[in-house]
Amino acid sequence: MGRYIARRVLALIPQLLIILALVVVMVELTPGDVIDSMLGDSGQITPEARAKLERSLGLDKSLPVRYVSYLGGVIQGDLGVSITRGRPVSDMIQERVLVTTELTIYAVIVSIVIGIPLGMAAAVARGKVTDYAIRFFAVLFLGIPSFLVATMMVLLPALWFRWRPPLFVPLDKGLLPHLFSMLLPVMAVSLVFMATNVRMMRSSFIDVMQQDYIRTARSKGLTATRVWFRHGLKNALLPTVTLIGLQAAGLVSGAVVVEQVFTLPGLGSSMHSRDVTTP
Amino acid sequence: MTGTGNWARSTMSRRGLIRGAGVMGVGLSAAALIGCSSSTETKPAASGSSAAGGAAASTAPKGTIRQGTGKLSEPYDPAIMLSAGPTYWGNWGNLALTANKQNYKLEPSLVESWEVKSPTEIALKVRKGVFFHDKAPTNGREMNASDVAYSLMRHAALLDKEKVALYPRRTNFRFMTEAVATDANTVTLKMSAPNSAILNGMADMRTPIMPVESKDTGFTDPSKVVGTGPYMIKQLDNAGNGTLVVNPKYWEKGLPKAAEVTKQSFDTYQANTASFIGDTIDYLTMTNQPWSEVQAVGKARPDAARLTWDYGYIHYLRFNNKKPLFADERVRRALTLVIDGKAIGDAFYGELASPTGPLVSTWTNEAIPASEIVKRPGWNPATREADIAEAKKLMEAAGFKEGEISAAIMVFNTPVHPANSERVRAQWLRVWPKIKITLDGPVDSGPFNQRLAAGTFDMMAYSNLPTTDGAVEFQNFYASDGSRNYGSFADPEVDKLCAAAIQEFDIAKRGALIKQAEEIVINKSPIISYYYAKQVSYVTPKWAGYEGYPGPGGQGGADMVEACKFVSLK
Repeated sequence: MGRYIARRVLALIPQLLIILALVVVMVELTPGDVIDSMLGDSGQITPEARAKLERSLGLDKSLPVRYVSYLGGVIQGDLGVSITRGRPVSDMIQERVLVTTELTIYAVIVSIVIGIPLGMAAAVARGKVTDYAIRFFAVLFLGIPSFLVATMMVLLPALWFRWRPPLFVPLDKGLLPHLFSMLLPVMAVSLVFMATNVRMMRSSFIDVMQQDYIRTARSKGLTATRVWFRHGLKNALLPTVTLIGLQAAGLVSGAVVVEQVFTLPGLGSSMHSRDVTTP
Repeated sequence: MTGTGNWARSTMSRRGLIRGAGVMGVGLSAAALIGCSSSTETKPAASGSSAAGGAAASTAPKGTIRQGTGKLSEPYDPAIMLSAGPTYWGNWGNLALTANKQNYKLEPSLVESWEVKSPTEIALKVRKGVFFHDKAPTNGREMNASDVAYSLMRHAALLDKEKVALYPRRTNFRFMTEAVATDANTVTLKMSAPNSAILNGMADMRTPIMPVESKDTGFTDPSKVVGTGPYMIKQLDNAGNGTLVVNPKYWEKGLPKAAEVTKQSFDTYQANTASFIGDTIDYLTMTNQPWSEVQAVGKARPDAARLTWDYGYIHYLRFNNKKPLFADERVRRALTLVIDGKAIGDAFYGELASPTGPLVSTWTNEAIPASEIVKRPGWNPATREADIAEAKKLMEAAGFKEGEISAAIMVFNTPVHPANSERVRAQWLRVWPKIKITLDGPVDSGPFNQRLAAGTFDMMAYSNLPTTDGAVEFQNFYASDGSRNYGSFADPEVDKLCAAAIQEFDIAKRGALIKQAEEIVINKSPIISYYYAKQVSYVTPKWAGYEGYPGPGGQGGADMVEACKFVSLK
């Protein structure tokens, strides 16, 4: 087991290097660079002025040189200085990563705690109104992107009830106000994943309930609840648990978008188009 | 729970599950409502401390203005800041000079008088008795000429020659070679060539005076950002949320009238709008939003006052004169003559669009008045049929008898530009059914700016905020070396007139020179400026003072921020 873990960890290194290289190349290939973004509509500049600016920001160096320099910094824990903000990137990440992590973790928990029981309920009530209702909402939320859900959560209560969700409250200002301020963002992020969990759980639970060992358990006189939770759930969870692991990356990307709508001070609201670090 | 029979028909179990889910949902909703009512957001403060110690209680500043703004860009350097910057510096920084919001005449501020000693030298008299905020790094010291000189040099990008391109207001200080403090209260500006616009340049909302200590502290720590303004930062985070409190040593006696300003920074416009409707901020600026949305907010907040005023944000379509097709003046003129700018503006902005397309902000001395422009071909509804007939003749003379040209409009990425461009295309198609116009975009700002600089577009749909000086604005757009001459329009006579105007200190002569240049540009049609949209803001009714304040200032939302020092609770 130890050897397996060590192998998997070592395999991460080339994967990270490839991902890093891909990100750097993709940012470079995106039309318009960080200087275009910084200048905005402040007017055209002469080629000489632009060249001077590129030189002062280290952007006159070739991409491979900048990449190697950046890589060297990353290995030493130095993520460079943001060109647009003038601050170390690691400081900016440190300020904000907790909020994004918190949002993601809450979203995972909510999507599991609500998604799995609902999936089971739909499976158990297969073919009935309950099943159709749960599946309808699952499909609905699967089709609506999280940023749209978030925007509606902010706008519609304001238009209908003149009520706006509470702004973010830091944890040090009180646990309950903090959790209340995270409630709607968590729901916005988790809905689409909850919907996926519902459908997966329903499908795998139905499969498991049709197995021989379940029939055997019932024939032994066990109650339905006992059969579901003690025998069925554990086996039906396997595909859903695998799915949750794969969803983690999607949850983070959903979180950074939703953060902007709810103005949470996470990684999402600190993103700046085409910002790169000085080499 | 049943223990016999087919477990699949165990309705009690299913009911139990659903009941549990329902209870959870109700509980979560109740928690949300409780969370709303126990929100820790800023509530209007009770009467605060006096702006000048010892003032009577009835004149003491009171109330908390709740501002919502866009995301604050870092660093907090007013010399570099683009968008949301002015809405912050408007509260905590003052300008050297300012423009009267009603008649746009230059007025003293931190500079109390000026003397044009020669066309290339101006002496500024710095006001005494102005103090920086009483916190590090200035600790309440008196402002002096060195601070003014340092600030002007920074805004002019004369202190950072390697990164000069990052200083967007440097064109306000064209030809300035140095600003020197010749004594404690006098700054001498020296220029390599006359620049009559430089004083107006100092009245730009985005050129506040900074302390010389900024050289050492920089602008990345919000707790060290100080100014001479009516409010000082009590707390500000890197997201732009914070609280400002009254500057007790503020030099304009009796101001400000509100005790506190809270800032909430929003990443999206929807969150800003929802906050106003939910009454957690006191005003909402809705410039460049569709009329339907402006009306929706009005319906959601019928108690709020809607304020509108002229604003210089001109919406236009510009031809790339370097493309062979648009190098032909006849093609440009033909395409320009058939456009009904009023219809385009009305469709998006409703009553907020001003139907004429001025080339220079209409309240400036240099502008041909809008009442004149609207009588001209291309703008005059009474001559539309004749204009269309003339346009067809011009197009035919250019070799396109049925208007069978093919070109693309590069569309900037805001809601108004695709809408404008679709309507322009539709109007052209009505006149020339064989015309082929494609819409390229919407294009994000990075690639848009890159293509502007590279000239890789046929036409572009865009809008621009004006500068504070009509001659500079015109020169930026139409002089061959103008920083906003995106279509590479070039006319030697226009260049000559612009150069002469910039060096002319007599206001009447200056205006006449630019108007002459405008006539040339109108005839050569390098641009179709459809309309300019009025600024519109909603204001919570408890505040008095906003309604009289906005006037022709051209810098929109920043005016609302500066108004904060004048508004008071009703």
